[in-house]
Amino acid sequence: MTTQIIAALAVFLASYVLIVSERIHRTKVAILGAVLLICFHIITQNEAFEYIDFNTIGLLLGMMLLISIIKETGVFTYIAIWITKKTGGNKWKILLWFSLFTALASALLDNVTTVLLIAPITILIAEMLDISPFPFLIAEILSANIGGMATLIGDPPNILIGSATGLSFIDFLVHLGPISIIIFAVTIVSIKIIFRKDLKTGKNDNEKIISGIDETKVIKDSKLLRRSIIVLGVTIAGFLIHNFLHLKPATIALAGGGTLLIWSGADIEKHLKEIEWPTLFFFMGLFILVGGLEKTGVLKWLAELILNISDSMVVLCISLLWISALASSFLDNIPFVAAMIPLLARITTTLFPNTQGLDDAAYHAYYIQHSLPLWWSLALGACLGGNGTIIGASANVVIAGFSEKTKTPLNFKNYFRYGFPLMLVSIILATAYILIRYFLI
Amino acid sequence: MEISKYVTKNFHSVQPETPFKDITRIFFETGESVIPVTDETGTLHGIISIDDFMLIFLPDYIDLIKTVDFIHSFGALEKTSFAIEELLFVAEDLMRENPPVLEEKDSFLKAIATLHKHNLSQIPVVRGDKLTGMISLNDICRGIYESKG
Repeated sequence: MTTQIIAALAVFLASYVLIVSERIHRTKVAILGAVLLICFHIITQNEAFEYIDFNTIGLLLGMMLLISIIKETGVFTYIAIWITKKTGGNKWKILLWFSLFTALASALLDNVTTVLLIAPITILIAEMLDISPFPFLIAEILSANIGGMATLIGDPPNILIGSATGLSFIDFLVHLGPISIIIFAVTIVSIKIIFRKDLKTGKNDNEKIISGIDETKVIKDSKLLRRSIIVLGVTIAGFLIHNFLHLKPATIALAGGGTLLIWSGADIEKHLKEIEWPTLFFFMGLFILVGGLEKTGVLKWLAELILNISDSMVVLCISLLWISALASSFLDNIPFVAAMIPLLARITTTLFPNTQGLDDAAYHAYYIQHSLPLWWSLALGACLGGNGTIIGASANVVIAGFSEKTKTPLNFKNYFRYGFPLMLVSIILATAYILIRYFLI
Repeated sequence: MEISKYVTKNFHSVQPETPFKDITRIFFETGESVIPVTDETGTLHGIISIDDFMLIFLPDYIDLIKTVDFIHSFGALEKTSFAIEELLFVAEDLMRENPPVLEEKDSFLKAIATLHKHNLSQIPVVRGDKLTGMISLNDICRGIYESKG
């Protein structure tokens, strides 16, 4: 091992430990780690900037802009109240429809924003109906992570994978959509069985209570709402056909965000302040850190090590699925996936060498198409693993924070009791899906 | 212009162990919006603002909701008990520790700015750590009215 490899590994591992320990903000660590790689001459400043995947950054930025305006319309609260009224206050129906709404919203927006908007109104409605918000909040955490898994834009690991592989929005929907629906259905039925006593609706005056909320008063600016829905709809349509348009998802997202900024007449200063800059800078630092490993050959060495153990695609997929799930249960899944992507690329290029003399773009498409189950295994493991513990995903942490304001706060122990077994069930289902869809049929 | 002339010396204070019911009575009888908490030596321990006091009756999660304009009735929460005899809080549990304070030599502008920044309408005036009086926005209004340029 050369000094450069040792230095790159040391900076990467030290940064990783600090990020995982959460003692120092992850963005500060990622920026410092990236700068150290340049200071130690492991990579040049120009190389550092080249390692940043601006498609990921642009996609996140565009969606953050779009969401910062949409959330002001009050549409989430409106839909939540509307659902509650339609269910007549039936607890099970409220849980089912709130979970479905959370899953759908998470698939189209980001998980954290979804739960930031849905959890407070859930707690309010539960308290008004004198029922514990606990099962509802657990269902929303699970639904947010399962829903987010279904699309390219639903969860940061998918954004990273989509950007690195060039797989389209439709690819994600076609390959991860069916299993998301199956896992969602099994999870919600399981929750119904687990919390059957809490969800029993007895004789009460729930309908009278919920008539005390007026959803029409939630929408303050109906013009803004109409415009937001139109732009969001067109943006999602853009994602569906981005490959046909020969446009990257980042361009679609930024076009949506930019259009709504102009059309809504929103205050640019205010909305730029609402962008989660620490998250964007964290991604940038992370790309550079992983780039350092790539350049020094650490990932090539690691890929060869893994392939020496087994080069069977089935073994690689199932191991990757379970390792990703368990790691993402306890650690931040973003740095994990960011490090896994170039490693998987190394493994797949070794497994599927360029024997036909294809150019770079054609060869990239060739080895990605031949290694699809591996990428889906990573996405499934990283997204579903987030359901394992209360710290497994950012959405979980947000809901746990909200629950502190209720009589039954979610903590590591009481969430783990339900979340971890349900996560294991989902990974068993995902294993079966990978095996049946990609290896048996 | 100094605030010294407009500081109210005739004010109500409570001690750290004063019960909840007595604090409630002082608020409605005096119309004060801030009650200082002192010990027998006159040392200021904290303040209780009427806003903080009312939070006792509000469920914590109300903070999570941006507006309550769309709620006509809080449903099951309307059964909230206002029986203050059952509430065992004392002044110490309710008070804001290390509160903002003014000194008699401070200017009107400093007083207005401090009240504004802390979202209070009344604030303790101290000498060292001893409470010497209270000054309110109304007292400052009087000072402005009587000001001769």
